[in-house]
Amino acid sequence: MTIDTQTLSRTLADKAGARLEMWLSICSRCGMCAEGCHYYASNPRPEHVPAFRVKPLVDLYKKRGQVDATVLETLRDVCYGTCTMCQRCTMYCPHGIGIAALVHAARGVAVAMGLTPPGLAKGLENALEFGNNLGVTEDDFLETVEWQLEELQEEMPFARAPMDKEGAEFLLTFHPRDIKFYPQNLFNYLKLYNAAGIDFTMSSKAWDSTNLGLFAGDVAKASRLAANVADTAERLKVKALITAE
Amino acid sequence: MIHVVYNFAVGPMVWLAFTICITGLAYRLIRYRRKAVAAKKGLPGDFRTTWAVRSMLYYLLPLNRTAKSSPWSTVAGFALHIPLLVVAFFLSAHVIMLEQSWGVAWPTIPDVWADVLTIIALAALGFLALKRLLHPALRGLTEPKDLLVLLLVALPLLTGLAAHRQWGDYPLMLTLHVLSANILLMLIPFTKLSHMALFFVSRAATGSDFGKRQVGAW
Ligand code: HEM
Ligand code: SF4
Ligand code: SF4
Repeated sequence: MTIDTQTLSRTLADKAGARLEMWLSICSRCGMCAEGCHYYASNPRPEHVPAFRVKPLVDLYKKRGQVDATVLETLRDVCYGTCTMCQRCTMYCPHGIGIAALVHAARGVAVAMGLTPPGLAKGLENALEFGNNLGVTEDDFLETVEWQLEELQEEMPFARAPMDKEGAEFLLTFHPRDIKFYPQNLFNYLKLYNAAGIDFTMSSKAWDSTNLGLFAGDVAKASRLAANVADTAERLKVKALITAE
Repeated sequence: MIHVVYNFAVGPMVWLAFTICITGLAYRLIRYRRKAVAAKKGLPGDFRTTWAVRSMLYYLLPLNRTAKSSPWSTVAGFALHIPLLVVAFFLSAHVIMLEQSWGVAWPTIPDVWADVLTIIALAALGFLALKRLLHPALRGLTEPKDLLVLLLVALPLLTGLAAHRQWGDYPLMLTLHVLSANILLMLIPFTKLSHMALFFVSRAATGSDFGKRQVGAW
């Protein structure tokens, strides 16, 4: 792979915010963050100490982007493959260093260099095109909701599933997996919210609670996906948004 | 010869060392502030001061998780820092030098205390170094410069103790003490030792973030 050095230096400069600079320079490599990480808990290798995740990034800055492809590939493997950005390690770090934020920046570098892992890139493409990362069409979504509502009404005749209703209190969003593969979960959600008697609505266009842009480290796409849901919530004048696992 | 070096080390070099240390740290703080302000431009202010302060206090008291999850390293950290700062500021020999050149002075600690504190700090440094060399995961994380930093911090302590206890050649030890302390001061802004100032910034930034999510100080 050839490296577009211009893009790389621009991205590195872009990501070098106040916190990134501070954290990369004060991390003492003391390893206390390890106690918080589930990767380390299951397999205590040096590579699983949270501070290890930022080594490729430190390397990139130190060499001002003058690196060969292996460094970028290591960065991609480490930052996508050994961290879920859960932030637990931050609570165990004496300095409160945000490893997850640094991993996010490193992923941003990978994205800019065209190194997004293929499965993730596909999901992201889906999310931008269909509004959800599994590529469920609007018709399929509406049909699934209708189907589950009908089943629910057999045991709960008063159950409702309002769609695009203005002025409700809550806007519900779901993990696309629950719509496409586990509609029983949708059934359970609807049952729960109807039983609770809350005033909710769903949106036919913005119902994906995940944000693969954020996960991938692609800030521009993450903002577009977040705006899709946030704008809908504002247009429907709901008071709060409920996100699912 | 040694007197020439000594006179330089306690004279112009001390000035240089303090100037570099203080302006260097000030520069790092100002740079942080400038970048942070630029990134926040146009956004509503959302800094949570109470949470930021609580975050620092939690670490310093120490009530945080690290104290429970890594008790030995936490003890070593405090056993290093408290003596380091107490001896640096309250050793009678240091205060006397300050009084001679600036005419300001404050209470001092008995010299025996200083010796004991210095030995505690050195033991803590020894522990941190050994942990880096022996703990399998930490060894993989450690870089040579991490051990060098521990050595650089140990040198002024060791030579200071030796000078006071009259181990070895007194003028030589004293000269080495002042030289190594000056070098340490000059390196603070350019190494991870800049945490001396940035610890508070980092802890505040993260504490404020945690506050926004109401997840508690930690
Ligand atoms: C007011 C100032 C300071 C604060 C709040 C502070 C805070 C900390 C914290 C939270 C750690 C990490 C945990 C630990 O090992 O305890 C640390 C480590 C350390 N600090 Fe400081 N520090 C300060 C000043 C200094 C100074 C002046 C020096 C030396 C010149 C120093 C040398 C070190 C060393 C050598 C380590 C251990 C690095 C390692 O684990 O290898 N600190 N400090
Ligand atoms: S605990 Fe904090 S300072 Fe220590 S290695 Fe981990 S991130 Fe770095
Ligand atoms: S944010 Fe990453 S490194 Fe930190 S605890 Fe979670 S998975 Fe581990």
